[in-house]
Amino acid sequence: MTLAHGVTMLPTFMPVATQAAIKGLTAQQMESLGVSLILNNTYHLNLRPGLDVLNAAGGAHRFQGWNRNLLTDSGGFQLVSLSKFTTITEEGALFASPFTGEPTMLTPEESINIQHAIGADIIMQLDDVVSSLTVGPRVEEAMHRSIRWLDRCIDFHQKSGKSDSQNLFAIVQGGLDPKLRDQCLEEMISRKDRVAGYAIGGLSGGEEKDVFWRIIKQCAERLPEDRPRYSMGIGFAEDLMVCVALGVDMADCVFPTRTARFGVALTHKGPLNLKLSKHAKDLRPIDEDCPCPTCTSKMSRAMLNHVVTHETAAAHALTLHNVVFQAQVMGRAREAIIAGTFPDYLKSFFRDYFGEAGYPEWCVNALRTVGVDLLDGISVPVIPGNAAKWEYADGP
Amino acid sequence: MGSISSETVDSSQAGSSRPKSTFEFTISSPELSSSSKFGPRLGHVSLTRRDTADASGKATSRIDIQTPGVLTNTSRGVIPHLSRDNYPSHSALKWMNVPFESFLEHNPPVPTLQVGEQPLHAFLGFQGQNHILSMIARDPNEAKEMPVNQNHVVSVSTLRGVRKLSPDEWRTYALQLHPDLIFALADTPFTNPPYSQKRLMKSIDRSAAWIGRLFNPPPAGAPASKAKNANPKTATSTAATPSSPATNTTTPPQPTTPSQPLPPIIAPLIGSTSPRAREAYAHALLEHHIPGPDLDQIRPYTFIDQGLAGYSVDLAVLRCDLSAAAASTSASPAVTQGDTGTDADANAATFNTLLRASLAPLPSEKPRIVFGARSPHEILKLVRDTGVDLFDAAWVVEMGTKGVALDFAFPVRGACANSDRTTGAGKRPIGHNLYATEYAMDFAALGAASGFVGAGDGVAGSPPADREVCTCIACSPRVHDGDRQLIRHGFDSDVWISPGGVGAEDLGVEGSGRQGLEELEKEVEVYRPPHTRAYVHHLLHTHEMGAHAFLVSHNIAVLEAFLRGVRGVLSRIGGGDVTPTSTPTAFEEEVEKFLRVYERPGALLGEAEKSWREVDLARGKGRLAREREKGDHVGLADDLEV
Repeated sequence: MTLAHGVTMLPTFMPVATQAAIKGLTAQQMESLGVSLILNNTYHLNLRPGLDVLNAAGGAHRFQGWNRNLLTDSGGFQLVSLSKFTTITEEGALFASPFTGEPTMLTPEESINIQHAIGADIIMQLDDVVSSLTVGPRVEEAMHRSIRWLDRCIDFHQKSGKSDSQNLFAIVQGGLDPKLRDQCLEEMISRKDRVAGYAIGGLSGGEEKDVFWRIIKQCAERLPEDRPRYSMGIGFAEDLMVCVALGVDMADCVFPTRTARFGVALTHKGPLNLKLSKHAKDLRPIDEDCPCPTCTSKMSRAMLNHVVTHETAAAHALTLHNVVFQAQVMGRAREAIIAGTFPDYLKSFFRDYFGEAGYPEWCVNALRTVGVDLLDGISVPVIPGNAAKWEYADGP
Repeated sequence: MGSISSETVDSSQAGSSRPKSTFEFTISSPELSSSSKFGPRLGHVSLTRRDTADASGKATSRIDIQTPGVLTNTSRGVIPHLSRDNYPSHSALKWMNVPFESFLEHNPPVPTLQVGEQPLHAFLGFQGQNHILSMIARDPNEAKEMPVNQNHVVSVSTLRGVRKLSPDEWRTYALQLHPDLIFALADTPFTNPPYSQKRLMKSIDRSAAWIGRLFNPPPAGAPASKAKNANPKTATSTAATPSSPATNTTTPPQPTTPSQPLPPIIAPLIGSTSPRAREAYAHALLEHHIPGPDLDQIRPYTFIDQGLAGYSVDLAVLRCDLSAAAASTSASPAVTQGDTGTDADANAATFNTLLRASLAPLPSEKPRIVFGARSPHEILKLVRDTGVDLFDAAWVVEMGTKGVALDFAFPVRGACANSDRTTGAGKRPIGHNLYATEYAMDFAALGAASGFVGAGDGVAGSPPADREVCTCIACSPRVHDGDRQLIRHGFDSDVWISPGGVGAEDLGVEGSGRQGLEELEKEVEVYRPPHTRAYVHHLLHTHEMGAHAFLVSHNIAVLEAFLRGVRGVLSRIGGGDVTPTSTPTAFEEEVEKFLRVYERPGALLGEAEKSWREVDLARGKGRLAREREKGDHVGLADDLEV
């Protein structure tokens, strides 16, 4: 994928820099980690520092000293998730300003306008977001409104003259209902000539994993081959693997960076919770083979245990590691896809990551639909439900 | 005036007396201090390390620190707010002083489990060829009340409560961890100042005895020290049997021979606020008969000072004791922890008196380290009036933690952009409280008011006299495009074409092959424009940790540049190439000018602390619970990431 600030190879994972910074790290550190695409949140940047500052700085790239690719969301998701006062009208989202409490309207045009000021390489349409657990007519209404808002976003974007440097993505809605998703896909795909890519929205909100992957598969199968597909809010390694297998190109999530601040290092053999006293005397690095600055400096689990949650430098060390871990997982996937060995990569990934602990049933099922049988030639338990792997104090 | 050196002998190679490392301090400007033992002085600290793996003994590395210079304290073993990958960007990070008390949360302390030539370096991620590490028992800037020390143990503070540390244990840890230097344990009371003469005399006896204990452990079979009986917590669960010496050890008892494997020792100079007590302690270090230990213990030396590589003074505890003394004798709060107005002048004069009392009897060719100076003003006076050689950076780290970007230079540079920000008294502030709303739209570099620019600002080659490149990660962000160190992830793009930065193709090396590219990368470092005050202001208000990484990095660089400036002016006087403008009083004149132009940081830090607290309360740990209590959901939205 070639954007105004360079090339980003797909599939990729995008670390989240909500407030124009990956928590604790400088833009230069992110560069050194080989990351070429990060995400800023429009809602947050619009509140702080605000458009005046961003305009004066010459856009978000300059403001944060980041010279590579940048994606901004539309701000719609945060309006709904962070403010209980938000009311959705056909005009836009009406919400109480967090500073003054005054009613403020975020329209599709205004969202794009803000994203133009921020200057991200990829910008997202404003969509009508409902929780993935919502049922009933509201879901259908939101889907149709998202299509109408997409048209308004496209119009505004094309008239602005920014469509050369900034790429507008549509967001497929429709909740967990395959029929609604199909309708939404139909409509949005018909606008393909005027959108640069597609996101799959309205997921990762606590729905059953078994439903989640079916929606992803349905969307990825229908979305055009020549447009990137972006699955919003996906960050667990097994979720990424399944999504990539189903045809997803991009994903973002705060999970790897947030969990780092709570003392958890992600590894190819599952997460390590470094706060646990069992790591207190372990002089091994997190992962001998990891190319991240934390592991190459041989920072031991014992040293990390000594500083996690006490020193910000520990959060930095783990954030560096987790960002590299996510990039490695995706980079290895790219390598395997090109070599034609992706099914083998999936099998070895699950074998290393879950091993004896057992594979999530939904992953096994999802990958079977694309011709990969994780259980082929290996005997491991299959765990129903979410089955994400975590390290607890009394764990193995 | 000469130099002193101390050697660490490799204990692992029995029979070999080849020194493993040599610590030297050389004063290079004798004429500066000829008039007085306490005049300003130029010098350098050097540590020469021989690679013990190299049989010829020729492979060496040498670390030099020019003095007056800076050393940096770690907190729980890390430099606050900086990650390891950023250490190499800081030329000021050459001597790290490691308070060890936090590691006493575990027994044995976890770093002692590390193997290798330099276990402490390895555990903390510092490089032997670049970094001098010293071990100190307690954080020298911590002066809070503590339980009493005892005859054979000092009370230290950990997150899991107070622990007791004996001189024998301290010696064992030093032997296991191979730091480049250690600070001797000292009996500094943190109980209820001011202290009686009797208490101070006891401090002197104990501290002297504890240094003796470092030189030589008790002979095997000697009665267990009181430490063990006093506090069972210090006993190790493994090696010690009821009849064995209290200090546990995984190392066999060291023979009492002249070739001690202990690193060079720095002695904290004690005596609280009493000049007489401070003088008495200095004499105790020089006497052939010391009250505490028996004479055997200090062999091979005939008096303690022979075994010392330098001296240190803790101002934090002095401030505490002085303010207690003032409160007990008069109603006026004469001494404050901060650094404000006339109080600060009184402080400086008192510090000078007390430090001179400690140092006067002692040889002047050993390095003098001061912990706890809190402003450039204090540092200048301690250089000018007391001849101090090394200062710690704790105060600039604290400034960065509280949101202050330092912006001062020595000698004072002419008025630059933004110097119109003056304080009430018409003086220039030494930095900026970047929480203040006036910085929201300020796109200048952090240190622009005193002439600091970024390496990417186009003046790097030969900046004009009123400009200086600040090498910190905020002012000089290094471009990583095309960097060989850049991490690759599986199948990756080889080039990032960046309009703002310079990529490999732009440098015209595309066709010249890998060799050419590597050579070029070694030579050319490309920098982006500095991160701005507005950006750091934004990060502070959004409670982003990156703000403090930028500020600590910047502040350490400013402190280093300041001391470089001090050395520059001093060398003009004493270096032999005396120019017409340089008179022996040039340094004094520049100091006076600095004191006249720059406001002390007391008020600045106070404001920043207030803003820091407000933002922390609004956004820091426990914020959600606090907001639930208030039932106030407006404002909650601002900081959540989803």
